[in-house]
Amino acid sequence: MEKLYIICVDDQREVLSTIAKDLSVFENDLTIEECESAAEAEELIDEIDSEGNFVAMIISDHVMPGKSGVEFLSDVNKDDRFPNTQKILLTGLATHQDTIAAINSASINQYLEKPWNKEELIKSVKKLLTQFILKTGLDYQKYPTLTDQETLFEILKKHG
Amino acid sequence: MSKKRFLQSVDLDWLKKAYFSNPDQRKTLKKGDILMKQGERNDKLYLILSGSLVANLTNEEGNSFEVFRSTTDMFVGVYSFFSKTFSSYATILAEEDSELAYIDSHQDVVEDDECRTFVEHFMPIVVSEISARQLMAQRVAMEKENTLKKLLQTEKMATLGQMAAGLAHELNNAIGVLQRKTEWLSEEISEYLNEKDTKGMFSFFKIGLKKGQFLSSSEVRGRQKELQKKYQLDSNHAKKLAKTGLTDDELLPYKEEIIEEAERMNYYWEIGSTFHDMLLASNHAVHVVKSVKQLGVANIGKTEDLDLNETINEALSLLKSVLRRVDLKLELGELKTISANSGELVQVWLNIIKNGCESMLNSNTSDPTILVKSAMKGKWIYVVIEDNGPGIPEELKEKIFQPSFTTKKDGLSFGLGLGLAIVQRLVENYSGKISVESSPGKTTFKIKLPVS
Repeated sequence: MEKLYIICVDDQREVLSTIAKDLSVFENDLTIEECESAAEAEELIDEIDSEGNFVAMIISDHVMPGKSGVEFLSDVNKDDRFPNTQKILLTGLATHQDTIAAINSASINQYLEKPWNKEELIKSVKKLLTQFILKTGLDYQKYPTLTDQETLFEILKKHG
Repeated sequence: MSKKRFLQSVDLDWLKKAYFSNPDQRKTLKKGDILMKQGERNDKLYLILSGSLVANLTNEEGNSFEVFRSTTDMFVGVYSFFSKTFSSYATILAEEDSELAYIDSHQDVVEDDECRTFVEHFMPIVVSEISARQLMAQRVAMEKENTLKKLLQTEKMATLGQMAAGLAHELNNAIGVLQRKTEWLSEEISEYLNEKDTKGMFSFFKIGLKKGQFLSSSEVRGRQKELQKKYQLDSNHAKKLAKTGLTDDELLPYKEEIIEEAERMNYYWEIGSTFHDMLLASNHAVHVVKSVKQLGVANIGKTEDLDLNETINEALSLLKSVLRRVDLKLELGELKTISANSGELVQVWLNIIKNGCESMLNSNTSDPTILVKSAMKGKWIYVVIEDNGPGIPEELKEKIFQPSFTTKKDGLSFGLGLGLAIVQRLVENYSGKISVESSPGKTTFKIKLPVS
C-alpha cells in the first residue's frame, strides 16, 4: 500500500517538534516528517514522490530564512506532481500582502495562527486529509483514523 | 564677519571719525548697567567702541526674551534713532564693561567730499543692523522648533517606555510563574523517575532534559535510516530512537530488546526534552521582556571586575538558534576587567550580532560569517563585530540609531526598532563610543569602552 506523508516545515526546532507531537494521533496510518527549511522539504517531497508515495499535506511556517512558507507553497502549487497536496500555513506573523499571496498563488487550504490550538489543528488536518484521500481516489475505508465522517459524508453526498 | 567687511566697504573708519570722535559724546558702562529702558526715550545712536551689549524685550506676561546682542563696531539705538519714534522698544544693558560713542538726533550733518547726505552715510548701517537682527530672530525660531521636536520625541519615548515597563512587569509575572513551575515540575519528575527507575530510563529523561533535540531534522532522517538497517527496526521506531540522539555505544546495553525498548526510551527522552524546550522558551521570553524593560527603567546593579568576554559569550549562547546558520569567528583577547551591568552589555552584543545575522540570512548572503573580536588598547576595550551581509544602505546610515527605526516592518522577528537605540544609550552610559562602517559585503560595528 502507498504511504501517506505529512510534511511539517518550521525553522524553529522546538516548534517543529511540538507540531509533530500534536499530530502523532495520525501516526499509525501515515508518516509525519519534520523539516527545518523549505529547501529541506523540497528535497524530501522529491524523494517521497519518486518512491511512489503521497505527500498528502504540507504544514508550513511563513517567516523562515531562505525561501518563505508562501513562496514554498506557491511552488508546490505549480508542481503537477502534487495536484492534491493539502496546504496549511501556520504562522505567527504574516503581512496583509503575504496573506493575499498565500491565497492567490499558493492556494492554501487553511490558515492557522500561532499559537495554535491542538484540537483545532487536528480537526483541520483530518478534514483536509479526507479531502486528499477522496480527490486522489484512494479507498477511504482503508484509512479510518485519517478521515472525518462529517466531511466524508458531505463530499460523498455532493457527488452522489 | 561679513557684516564688518560690508561696513568697511562703506568706510566705517570715515564714519567713526566724522561722527563718533567727539570726546564729549562718550559713555562708559559697567557690567550690568542699563543703557536704555524698554518704552523710554532715546534720541541717540550709539557705536560700541569696546565691550558688548544685550537687548531684552519683556512681554505682557512679564517674560523676558533676548532680541539682539551687539559688540565692537556695531550700533545700538538704531530703531529709536532712525524711525524717529525716539523711544526704545527694548531694554539694553551692558553684558560686560563697555565703551560707547554716540550722536544726537539734533546734531549737524557732516559733509564729505562726495556731498553725500546723512541718510546715504547711515543707510548701510541701518540695513545691516536690521538684517542681522532678522537673522538672529530666524535662528532663534529654528532652534526653538528643533527643541520642540526633541521634546516631543523624548515625551513619546518616555510614554512608550512607561507602557513597555508596565507590559514587561505584567508579562514578567506570568512568565516567572511558568518558568519557576516548569523548573519545579521537572525536578519533581526527575526525582520520581530516579527513585522508580527500573531499566535506566531515568538516564534517557536526563539526556532529553539536558540537551533537548540536538539533531537537526535532516540529521534525524539520516540516523533513522542507519538505525533501520542496523537493528531491523520499522521506520516509526527508528525515527523515535533517532530523535533521542543516542549513539550506538549508548544503545549497546539495550541491543537485544531494542524494538521493545525504543518506544520507552523515546518516551522518557521526550518528557525530558519537553521540559528542556519549556525552560528554553520561558528563558527566551524572560530575555525579550528584559530587553523591552531596558527602555523604561535603567538597570542599576553593577558587577565589579566584570570580564567583558563573558558577556560576549552569554550573548552568543542566547543567539544559538540564529548562529546555527551562520559561521562564527571568535577572536577574544585578554581584557582588563570593568565595572558594569553584565545584562546591559549582553544586550549590546546581542542586538548588534542579531541584526548582522538577520540581515545576512534575510538577504541569502552566501557563506554568512560573523566576526566578533575584543582587544585591549591602552585604557580602552575595543569590541568589533563584523558581518559580510549586504550592508546598510547609505540613506539609512544616519537613522539606524534612532528609536523607532526598523527595517523589520514585515513582522520578521522582533522589530520594535529599539535595538540600536538601546545599544547606543547603553554604550554612552558607560562613557563609551559606538561607530559603524558599512559597504556591501562588509559591515563593521566598533564599540570602545573605557576601563574605569
